[in-house]
Amino acid sequence: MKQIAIISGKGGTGKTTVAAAFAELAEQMIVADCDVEAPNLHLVLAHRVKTETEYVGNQTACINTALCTQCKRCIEVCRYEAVSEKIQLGEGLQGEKVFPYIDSKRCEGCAACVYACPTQAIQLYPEATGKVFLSETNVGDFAHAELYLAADGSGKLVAEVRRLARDEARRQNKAVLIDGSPGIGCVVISTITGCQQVLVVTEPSQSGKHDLERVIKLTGHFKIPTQVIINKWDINPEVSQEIEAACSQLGVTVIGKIPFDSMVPKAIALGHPITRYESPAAGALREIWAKISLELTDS
Amino acid sequence: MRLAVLSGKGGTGKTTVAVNLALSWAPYRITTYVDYDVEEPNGFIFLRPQIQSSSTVFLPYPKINGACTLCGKCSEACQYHALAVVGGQVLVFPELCHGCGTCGIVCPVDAVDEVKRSLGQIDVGERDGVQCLQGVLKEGESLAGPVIRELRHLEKKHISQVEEVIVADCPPGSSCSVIHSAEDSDLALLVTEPTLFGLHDLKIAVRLMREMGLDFGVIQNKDDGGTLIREYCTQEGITLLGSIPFDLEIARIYSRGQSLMNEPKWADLFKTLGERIVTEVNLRKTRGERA
Amino acid sequence: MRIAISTGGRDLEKFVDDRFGRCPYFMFCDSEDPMGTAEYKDNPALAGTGGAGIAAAEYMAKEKVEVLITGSLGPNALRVIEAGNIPAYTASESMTLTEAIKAWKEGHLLKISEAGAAHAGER
Repeated sequence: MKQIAIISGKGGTGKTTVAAAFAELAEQMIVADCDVEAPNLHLVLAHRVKTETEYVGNQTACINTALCTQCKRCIEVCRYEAVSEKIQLGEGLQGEKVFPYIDSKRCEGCAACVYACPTQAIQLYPEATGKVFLSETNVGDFAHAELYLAADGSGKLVAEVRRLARDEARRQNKAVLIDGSPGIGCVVISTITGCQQVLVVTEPSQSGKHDLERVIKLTGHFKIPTQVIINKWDINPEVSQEIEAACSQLGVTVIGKIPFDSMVPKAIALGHPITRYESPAAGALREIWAKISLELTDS
Repeated sequence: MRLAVLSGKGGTGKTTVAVNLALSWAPYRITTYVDYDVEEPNGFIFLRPQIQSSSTVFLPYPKINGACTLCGKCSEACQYHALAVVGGQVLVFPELCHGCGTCGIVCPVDAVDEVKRSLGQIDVGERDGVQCLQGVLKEGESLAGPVIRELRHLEKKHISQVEEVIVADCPPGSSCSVIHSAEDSDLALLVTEPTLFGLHDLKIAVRLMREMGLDFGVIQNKDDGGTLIREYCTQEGITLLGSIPFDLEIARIYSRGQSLMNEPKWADLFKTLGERIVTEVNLRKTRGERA
Repeated sequence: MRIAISTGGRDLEKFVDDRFGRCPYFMFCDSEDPMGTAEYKDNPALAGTGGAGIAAAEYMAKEKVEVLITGSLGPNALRVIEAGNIPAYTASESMTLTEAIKAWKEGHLLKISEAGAAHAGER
């Protein structure tokens, strides 16, 4: 089963516009939105939620103050600065007590304090990361998620969305198309590992180029075949050319270029993929998809 | 005064706002720019600071010494499965290790030594009176957290005076990385754009700010004169601190990796925006003191 | 010989699961009498925070598995399996457990010597 991920390094280059267009052109692929921190694909893919499940992927340490002897060993061992002292007022304003307190936003659930505590006062508790949805659209099933506010573990939530998409793809004998997130860290690594192909959407700016080079190093590190799409290439043709040169030096193909097109934001505002319309960007995307789908059926 | 520049959605113009605000304050105030978007730091492309020093960010990982009795406690305790005891040896997987030190805590015979590997680096420089700091995560590494933590420590060491301005350019998204870069700021500047995506992600950022209890205001970038963002801000009672128009000239200057300060028109815009932000921070402070 | 197979169901007529670290169950049996000795255990690595392949591979060693049949192994899991001297073979997902055991006995399964795609990032 083939999995293609669309990522960008830099944010706002047009990943979701491209992903929505491909989802529509492919007609029958399982689509997964792995940008769980700022998901947008559901805004342009008309869908109906079929299943909704809570995903519990994290652990947070919690202190049972009844067992705590205030030895502060937990504060010493925590390397994430998650344990600090909190003053707890005793009854009648006397017997003010200082207790160690664990900030769940900083706790990484590593269990160092759990093992270090001499009185077994600390335990790890599971923590919900977010919600995972499987929806249906007129172009195939769609896996997406919603990260709970300030929750840790977006990388794991991504893995869960991909698992759902993969299981569905396996059952229906289809390929998976993934809309990724900006960056090169944990979340993006979780998005691309195990994919057969990565498409990087970039824009003709020095930032776009800088971030593209970092993303190409990342996919190279994981040995995933990578191709590049330059979005709004005609905003700055010189930088587009620089990007093409940089790509050829890195041994990466630029599979297509999309022109700046004022129809794109209009289509988004209407909640539709751009390929519903006849426009320059839609035409370019159709051409690029034709090349990709050819490779898709090849393997 | 610490300002956190952020946005749920990527590419809305965080760096444009952060860099140009820093440059416009620099002649009047001691100003420090810190790029916390360690996965894709872009501020230095525009600031082009003279680098004064660079340091490596290390993460410790275990190395098992000869005292090991293969009891397996380290592997049992490791939440990340970075250790496996198998076939008469302990295998260590540094790339899975979070450097928490739990294996060393549970080892009964002191067989865990710590070595370190590089996760990325921190650069310090200066440009036109702006102190510039950035963290850079190495490609292929997944943990941005330690780089951000180290950068925050460095920022604190760097800052000595209260009247100083710190502009923190935060990563996109709504994860713990955003929280750790933005917390303890006097005001968060949420940069958005007037699209359906921009608005959707702005709402996420607003919820995050409210959850964190952080004061915030909105800056609209690529303003097309529409009412999408304005109406939302009015409805929610959010201060719209300023707007940057949609302008192809800005897009072109940006695409070349230049700051907007060389164009008087845009320099004035950022100066006005900067003044507005300072007023807003002071206003909220006095309001807070009164309350 | 003690065999382990990654599987999606608790029955010899159920199929091989090609995921090693993230399969729901492992079937253990004696290769001479699968019917009489088959037992099914939940994959303990599923509960973990990451590095599922490593945890599952370590579990194979703990269970004293002599032959492993699965889809593919990531680089980390392969390192552990090799350190434990457990020969691993690849079977397709269209095979039932019974068919996979038969194919292995007849020497039709390919030995895994190269790592498949990693599924890192679940950290």
